[in-house]
Amino acid sequence: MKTVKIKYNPFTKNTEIIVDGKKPKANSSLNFGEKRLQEWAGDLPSILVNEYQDKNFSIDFTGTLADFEDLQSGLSTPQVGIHIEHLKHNCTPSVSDTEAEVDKIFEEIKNGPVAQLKDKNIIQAFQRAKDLRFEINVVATMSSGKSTLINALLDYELMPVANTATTATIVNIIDTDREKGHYKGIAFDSNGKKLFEDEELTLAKMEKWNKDEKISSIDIEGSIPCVNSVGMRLVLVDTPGPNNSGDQRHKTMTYEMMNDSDKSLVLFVMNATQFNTDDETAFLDYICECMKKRGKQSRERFIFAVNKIDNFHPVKESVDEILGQVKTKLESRKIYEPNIFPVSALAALEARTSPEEPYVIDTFKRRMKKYPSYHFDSYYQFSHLPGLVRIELEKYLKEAEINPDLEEGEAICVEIHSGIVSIEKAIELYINKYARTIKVYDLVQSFNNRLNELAAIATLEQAIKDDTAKKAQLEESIISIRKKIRSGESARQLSSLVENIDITDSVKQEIEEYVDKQRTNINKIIFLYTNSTKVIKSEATGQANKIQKESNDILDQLEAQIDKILKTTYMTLYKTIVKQYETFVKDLGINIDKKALVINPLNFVAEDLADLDAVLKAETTRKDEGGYKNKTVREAYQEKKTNWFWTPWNWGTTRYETKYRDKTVTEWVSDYKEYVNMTEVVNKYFEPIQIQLGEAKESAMEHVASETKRIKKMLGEQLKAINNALEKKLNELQGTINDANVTAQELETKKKNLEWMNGIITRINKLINF
Amino acid sequence: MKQEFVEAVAKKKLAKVRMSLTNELLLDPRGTTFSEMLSYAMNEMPELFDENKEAAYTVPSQEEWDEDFLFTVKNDLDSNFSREKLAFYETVVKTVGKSKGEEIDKEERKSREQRQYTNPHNQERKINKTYATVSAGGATLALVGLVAGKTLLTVVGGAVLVVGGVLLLNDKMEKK
Repeated sequence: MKTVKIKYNPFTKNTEIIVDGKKPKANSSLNFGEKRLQEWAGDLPSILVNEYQDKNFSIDFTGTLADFEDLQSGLSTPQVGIHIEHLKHNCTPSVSDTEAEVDKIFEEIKNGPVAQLKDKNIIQAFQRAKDLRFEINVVATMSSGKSTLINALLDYELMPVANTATTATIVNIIDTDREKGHYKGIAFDSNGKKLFEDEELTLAKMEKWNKDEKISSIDIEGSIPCVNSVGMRLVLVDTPGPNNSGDQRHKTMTYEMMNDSDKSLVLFVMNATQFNTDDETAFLDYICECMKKRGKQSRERFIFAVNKIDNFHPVKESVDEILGQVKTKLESRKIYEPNIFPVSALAALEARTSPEEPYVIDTFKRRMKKYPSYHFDSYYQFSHLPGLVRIELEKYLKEAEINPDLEEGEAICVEIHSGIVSIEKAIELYINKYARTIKVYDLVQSFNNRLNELAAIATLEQAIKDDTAKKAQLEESIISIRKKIRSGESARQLSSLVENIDITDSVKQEIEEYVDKQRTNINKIIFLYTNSTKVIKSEATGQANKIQKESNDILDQLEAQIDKILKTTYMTLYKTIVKQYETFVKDLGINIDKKALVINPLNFVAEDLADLDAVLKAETTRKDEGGYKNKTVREAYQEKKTNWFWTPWNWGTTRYETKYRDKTVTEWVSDYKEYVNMTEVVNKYFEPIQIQLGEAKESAMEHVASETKRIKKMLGEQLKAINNALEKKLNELQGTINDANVTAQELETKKKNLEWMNGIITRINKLINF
Repeated sequence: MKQEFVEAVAKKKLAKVRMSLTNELLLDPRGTTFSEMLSYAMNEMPELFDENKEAAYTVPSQEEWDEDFLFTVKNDLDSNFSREKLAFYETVVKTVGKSKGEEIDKEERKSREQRQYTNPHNQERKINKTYATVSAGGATLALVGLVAGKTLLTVVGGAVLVVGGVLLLNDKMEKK
């Protein structure tokens, strides 16, 4: 049996693993780098079994409770037959506790003795980190009740329930401290110009704005009371979805928001009664792509809400079966282990808002009491919510049952059993586990660098205070470093470091992989047809429309995807160089500001695609597909007869009588059909896209080259700034060393300040770098 | 060769010409039309090919060539349209698309036969041919009978000749 010690820090995303007292080898798959635990926990059993040739392990985990639960779930993967003899958890403070402690420390800093730490910039940086936004992107299929679900989350009927197709407006509802039910709205046109503003936004006004074609997006400020924001500023984004939006910018935004994994999640609302994944093929395929990349985190990031589940008969139909079907359909689109939440948004909304004319709540109450299958919160096998949530919901239900106000108690039970609370819990869990850890780390970073720098200088000052030899040594170092800087040697060293980096190859490979995947999709379709393939026009129109939709989706996704590849690569490059700078200046206690990298998104202007109607028209042939058919027809003929003897005036003339007989004739029966040469359609239609893909790739590569140049220039300038800062700090230090006029009282203050700063640093390290 | 392709060559639309060529082989792996298109494009466009660059993929043994490999080769070719890569792509598509080529052959044969069968003129010709054969047969019999001095044979042959002649005559009258 092997003993494994795992320490996982969710703030720094750092993992330390020791197996039988030894660190894994350099080439071991256990070196997870900066991956989150949720990304590797599922692979851990197979890595351990393969690398250590043993199936029995004892595991000792240090980390938060939420991460421990995910590790447990990862270890329960049955396929490799791993046996965990002991599983011990050394619990570190939860993210909430850590954030509360960080807040407390910052308050102490603001009221503390060190003036440099009360700087305006530090306070602003802390506030910025405090206001970190978290987006919940709500996307839906047709008639799925998305607006009702959003209203249920708001506990207020604000979003109009459209009977027709979903509107193409993006609505951002930003959680603020405004009183419940009071929303402020601002409507913008497609250029971002403000069109209307309303301090008291109502359902009627929203209906009006929704019909206004000039309005492209609406920002709403108000309370989102039902989702626990757990310390983040929530933004509920009502996204039209790529299929329902005619606005190119909206489509790109939708695909981009799906990529941004730490600070947003996607709530995909489906209609349980009309579930059809084909409507959203490309969108679901993109979800599948996103889910492949980050293990459990990705699965938790996509919440599939199956709405209108209460439309099924509680006896004749089974919710389990319906959810099973949804799961199978999603899995057929390669979305494995989806988190599916059955929900009745309307019942939840009615329970929360108590409308005058309720529509479903009375039936829901009756059925909820009679049929356990109507407890939509209890489908844990589909929602994958952890046991802790189950305990919490059971506690709420018990409290509701003994609520002296019977009606209120019943309404709470409806809320929980409607399934809405489970969705809210899933959102809360995701924020807590992923977004909040980033926020806490950013909060600490807003003051930690300055704190460490000041403490380093103060430590030096203390060290040389009574030690002449050390003082001389330090002076010597200062002179040597200054000389180095002035000679330009360090600048040259670091410049060459920047110059030697070439990211073009790695980016090129990633972009090529993506573009080639789309090219292969097109080639596969072309390979299906031959030059003589002809399809009936109605079928051809259907197929061509599908192709058109898929092609547009490919181009829409491309921009977001290439942008993501560029961003990720530049961030990695930036981090590498910053790390090297940090190593360079580490001993001098000088830190570098990590400015956010802004990449201009690629602007691929899609060429006009060939006009599908025109192509179809040109390629249509009319063909008579009839055939010879035998037909019996009645034929008239004249039969020659002898004239009657009693009509002598007719004697000598000829008399004919009309008679009828059946005759079998072979006739051509016409059957005209309109055919389309599908090869030509696909060929004419796909070729421009294939060419566009190639051009998009070229354009991306040009963009990479120019961005690399820009970034190198920026880093070079930063290097100069670092050198200047170094010199400045060295001068300050020199001044302190040579300052003979320091009073005993000042020295004492400095000593106390240092002790105080060291105390704070120790507390922070315990919290963040445990 | 399609008019569209000829026009693309005339207008020197390099990307379009290259894409049409590679797509044509996907549509018809036998490569008949492709060869025509290629030689036409090569004559008209000296700039058709790029300089060959090393391919990013490894080539498996021929038995392992499949659709995935075919598309890898095509994607690589679409990025670097060199003479060498096009030749290799042609080889791969002819191997992987062999059954598709055979299928096209079969379909073409079938459609030729169907055209023959469903043409009403063919049917008429067939009927006329039968009547003429009957008449000719009768005449031959009568002639043999005369030569051999067999009266019965001559009479039977003559009767068949008359029947055949009447059938041909009636058929002609009916069409009028």
